[in-house]
Amino acid sequence: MVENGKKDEDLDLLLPWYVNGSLSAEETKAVEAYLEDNPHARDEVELLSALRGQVKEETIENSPGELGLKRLRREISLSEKQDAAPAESGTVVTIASWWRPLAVAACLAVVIQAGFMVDLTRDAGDEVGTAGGEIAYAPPVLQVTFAPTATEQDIREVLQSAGTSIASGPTAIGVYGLRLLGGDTSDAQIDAALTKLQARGDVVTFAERN
Amino acid sequence: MAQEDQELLSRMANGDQSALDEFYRQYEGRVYRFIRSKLNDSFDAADVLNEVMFEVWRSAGRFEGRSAVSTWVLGIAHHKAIDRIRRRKPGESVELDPELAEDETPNPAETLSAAQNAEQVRTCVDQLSEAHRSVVHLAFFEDLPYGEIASIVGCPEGTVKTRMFHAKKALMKCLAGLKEMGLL
Repeated sequence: MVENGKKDEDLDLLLPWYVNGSLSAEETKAVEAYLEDNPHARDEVELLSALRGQVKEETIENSPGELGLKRLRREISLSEKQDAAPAESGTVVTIASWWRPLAVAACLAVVIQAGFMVDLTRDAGDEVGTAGGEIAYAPPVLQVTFAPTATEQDIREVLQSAGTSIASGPTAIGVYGLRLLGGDTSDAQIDAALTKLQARGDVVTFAERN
Repeated sequence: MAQEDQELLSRMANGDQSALDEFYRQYEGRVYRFIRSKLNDSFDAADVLNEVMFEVWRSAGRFEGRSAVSTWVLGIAHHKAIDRIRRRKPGESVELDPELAEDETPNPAETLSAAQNAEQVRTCVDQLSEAHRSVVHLAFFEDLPYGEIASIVGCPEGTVKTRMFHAKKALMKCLAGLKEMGLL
């Protein structure tokens, strides 16, 4: 059958867009006339509406949000510095994703190292004694991300010099939570650790209070 | 909104980072969701989102206004995600065989109950090819017209319609299969 110059198969192809309401007035009229005479097409519209409803309601994990924006600003700033600097190598570093394997390797190394550090530093005071005599570990007070090129040794040195250890992470976007060693979680102590972390921009690409 | 978006791009082209912040906050969720629908990997999706926004910052001055800003941004996201998929190892993603999907498509009325089960719909959408998933996402999540989808994915309108047609058939077959296996 031909409606307004369109064949049935053409109208079938338009059904998903009839369902999402984006067809032109002329197309909508043609599809509606087609639906009147075609129960199979009406069933398809019902099915497509159900599918659209499910796609719309599908929940996924949160997007990177403000952390993603901070990462973007940092990379733009880095790129602009590189653009502004004399062309030492004649190349511009782009934000490509060649670093992922390195980042994953660094993350694994950090996690393994963190396991050792927990054991090695327990006497150093990252444990918080409770009245019942139980041991609880101090919660993360800082969050950081590491440079893709940072080695496990770099990360270890930075964490130790700032008096911190890994308490949580990495998240899906590579953020780690850090706790302070020594049990002193005063603002001054946290700020001091933060300053030390931020001073190592070659290893720590992002650091802020939790 | 379109005018405001274009103004944001003009400001970005002049190096105004507060315009980037505004733009990012406005589009980040939408762009991330689109990339995520193509990649099925939150780490990769966050990474590609960063690449897309970086590209928007660098290319803001080159936006010519021939399409909506959202179409332009989603187009960049599409190409960046495709680049990422191409860099992945072959065989990493398991996709529904289009030949199989074409075979004996079930009746829509019979698969309707299956299409009302969120988990099963998600399972079946995840099995579609990247090209089919993109069209389904843009048509059903973004509610975009086929012409705009064609601009985003860079193919003729007829191809968008055919991809949707094949995606629908594949989904129906997958849902009917799950129903038959008693998973619904």
